[in-house]
Amino acid sequence: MRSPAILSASALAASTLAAVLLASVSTASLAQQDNQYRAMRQGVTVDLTVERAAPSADPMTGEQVDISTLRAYASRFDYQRVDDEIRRLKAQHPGWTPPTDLFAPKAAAVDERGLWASWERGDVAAVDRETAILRSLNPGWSPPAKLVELMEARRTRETIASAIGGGDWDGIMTLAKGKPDLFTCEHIENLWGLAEAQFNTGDKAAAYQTYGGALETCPTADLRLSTLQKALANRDTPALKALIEREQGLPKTAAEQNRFAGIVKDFGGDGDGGKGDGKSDGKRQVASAPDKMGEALGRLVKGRSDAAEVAWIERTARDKRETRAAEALGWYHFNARNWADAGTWFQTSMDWKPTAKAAEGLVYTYQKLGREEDARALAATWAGKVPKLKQVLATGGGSSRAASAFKEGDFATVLSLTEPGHGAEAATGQSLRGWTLMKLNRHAEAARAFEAALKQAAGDPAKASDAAQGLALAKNAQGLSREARAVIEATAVAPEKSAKVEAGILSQDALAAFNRGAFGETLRLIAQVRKLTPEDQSLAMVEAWSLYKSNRFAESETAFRRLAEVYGNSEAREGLRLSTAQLNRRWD
Amino acid sequence: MRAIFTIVALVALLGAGVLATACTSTKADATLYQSEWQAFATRFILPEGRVADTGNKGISHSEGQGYGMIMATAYDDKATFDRLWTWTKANLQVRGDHLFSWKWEPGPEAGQGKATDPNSASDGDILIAWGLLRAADRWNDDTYRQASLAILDDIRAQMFVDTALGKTLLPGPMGFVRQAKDAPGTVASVVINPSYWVFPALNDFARRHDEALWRAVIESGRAAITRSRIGPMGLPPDWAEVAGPDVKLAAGFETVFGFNAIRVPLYTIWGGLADADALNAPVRSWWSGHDGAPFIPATVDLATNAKAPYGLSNGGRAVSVLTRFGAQAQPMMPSLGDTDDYYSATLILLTKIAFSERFQ
Repeated sequence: MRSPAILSASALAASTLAAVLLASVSTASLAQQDNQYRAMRQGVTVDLTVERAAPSADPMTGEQVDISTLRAYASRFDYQRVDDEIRRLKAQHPGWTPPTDLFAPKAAAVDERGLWASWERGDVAAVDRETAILRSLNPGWSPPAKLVELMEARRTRETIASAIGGGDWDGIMTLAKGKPDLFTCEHIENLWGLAEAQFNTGDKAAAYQTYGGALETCPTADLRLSTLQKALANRDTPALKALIEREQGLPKTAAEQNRFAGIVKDFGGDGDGGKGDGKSDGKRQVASAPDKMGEALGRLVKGRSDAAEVAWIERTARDKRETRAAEALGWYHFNARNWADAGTWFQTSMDWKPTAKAAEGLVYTYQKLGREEDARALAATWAGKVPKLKQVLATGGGSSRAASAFKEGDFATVLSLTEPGHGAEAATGQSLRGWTLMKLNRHAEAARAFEAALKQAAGDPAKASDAAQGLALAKNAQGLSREARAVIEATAVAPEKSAKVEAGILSQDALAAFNRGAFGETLRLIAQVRKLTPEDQSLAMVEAWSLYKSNRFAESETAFRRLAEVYGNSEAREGLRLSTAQLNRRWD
Repeated sequence: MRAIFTIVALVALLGAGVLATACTSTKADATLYQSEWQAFATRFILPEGRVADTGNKGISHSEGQGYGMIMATAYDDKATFDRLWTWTKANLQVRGDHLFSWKWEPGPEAGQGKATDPNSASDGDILIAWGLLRAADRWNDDTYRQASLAILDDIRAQMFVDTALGKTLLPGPMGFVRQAKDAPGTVASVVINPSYWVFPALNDFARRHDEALWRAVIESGRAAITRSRIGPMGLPPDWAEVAGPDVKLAAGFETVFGFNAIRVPLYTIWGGLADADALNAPVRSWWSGHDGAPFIPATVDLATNAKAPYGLSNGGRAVSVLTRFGAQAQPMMPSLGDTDDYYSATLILLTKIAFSERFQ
């Protein structure tokens, strides 16, 4: 569980407060000794937790025991002083016991960005895999509650979609009973699925109650109009008429008004059956048939078709051998990451009538399926008409499966494909493995992979540069800035890449200088970092504290004020308060 | 012998006891800090008593359990020792004999983890047996001693083969003896890992178990170090292969002086081998040759002389400091920080324990 005070972005800065707190309670000689101690450590690190000591109580006297100094020592791994301080506190407060969380691992370090990225790509399977990996790496960690909820909703939606496809109406109704929370306006597709199920099992009243409920609770005209369109497909004329009349008076934009008029018109075809004659109805149907596919495909490519419509398009495409529908279905499944279905439809489309678009889709699908040879062969045939496919020819082969898994964020697959000693991709994919491990914050393993990649890259300067950059970043991430620098110096890293690494190294050096109490040096180093990279909030905070510790209170006040305004960070507000107090004190 | 052990134990006890006493007198033990052990335990020992290899997907292995148990005895932490041993017994001692599955992997959900390789590793078995023996002495508990002796009986039965080195320790019961291709059934070569000879443990085993056997094993360990000096610098390899009278780099294994072999100097010093200085001379001169360089390469390939482009971890540096400076090493020892992974952290603490037991 994260402590609310611990956030990775502001955590670094927070530690500076601990350092400041400490400086105010420690003597000069103590600080000097500590510098000696730190100087002996390679890869100086700073604590990432906010060490605002929650006071603990003396069980004998009930008196508060001040453990801020103890926590400050613990945050710097100064074990001798921690032992001494515990001894001192025990002498003062017999019966007091030290807190058990002095060295608790930093829960905030779990990087959940990959999970969200996979979610945003719509790759539920990748979210599951990454969740499993993060769980195994971080015992006690659990995925964010919001993500769990979204995944649950997504799964239900998929279950319903496939139930509709398979006509499993009872299954949908059972789901709705079990998870009513997921059958609300917020998950409107589920509601539509439920209504369809009710309609198809013959309970029209229930279906229209569901549609009506959606109309009542959905706040936007867009959702209400879509609901009416759904109801059009499951027509119960009197009930639908009532719904349309209810919608009539509600406020709409001009565009929505047009859409509503279209719905009323569609409804009119059967609803005003008394006025029309058989002939005109027949005409409308004949005229609308080709349009119907066009409109459906329009919705399909925009991802707005429901499962029933997709099923209808598939059926019609097969019946009428509609090339454009087959191709559109290929892209639809491709975008939904159903590679096998995408392949079938692109292939079908090509069989009926080869087109450049379908060929392109089929090439990409082959790549996704790991059929690199097929992809290259087809790309070679079509590269003349589709210049983009030349890239496939240029980059194909090698560690492509791992590479595409990496692009998809499927890190588990990358790691298994590139595990040293396991197969062809391991021999060429160590750099990819390194970047993957970096994404998972497994820096020590990443360093080993990049090291292997450096060996593999012998004679290929571009690859060597990439691997060396990775190795340097991995080393730096472990706090080993000197080693990172040595890697950069020993290997020709491309200038634009080395700037990033250099900035990382300088940042580490700046933090080390700050920890030593060399605030002037810190400011100098941060100024150098700024030339290389955009502002980093943590470093800006360190800079502000350095100004403060250099008694440059007017500047620190400005710096903290800006940070407080930009990031709204409580640490900055604290710095601002202290800086202002210092400035005022001068005039007291 | 007994007296010496008591003194060592007393020293360690004083170091460990500082939390419990309110005294402000000078510390008897300058290297072992209870809080450093607390930091290790908090970061790497899970509540159920499993040491998680954080650099390696949070898996556990018999080696890590053994190291944890040894550390717990050094820091006089019986509660943690018991958690470690209980978990180890229940989850790794599952082969049907008294040896331990070397690898345990967590599952995607809690409760789904299990031992995933039934083979045992002799260093893990030795470390666990030694942890138990130390516990038996420290807390005067015969059940630990019995458990240890049962393990030692099985190590004796399964882990030795006679080679040109003498009574040679196999890395595991299966897979390290290579048959001659043209004459199946005859031993062509034996793969060894010089860092599996945990000399301080072997000393204690000789005193408590089968003296003749363990003395012979100590000798084969010394021979393994002196005779596997491969490459221009004569560094011990992570893995070696004994074929007839020859000792060479092991085919199919990494050919480095690296993460395994770095423990060789640690164990010779900790074990108090009379000729430890001579045994470690190549390693010492390799490390001291990097004074002034940005770092000491973490590994060096003994076949190609290629050096890792990155330096020793803090744990590796701890061992190098102990090896080079012996009794004067203490002020230079790194401390456990938050960038150390399981292995680096382990080497830091083991080195400090070795220092306190050997030089204080």
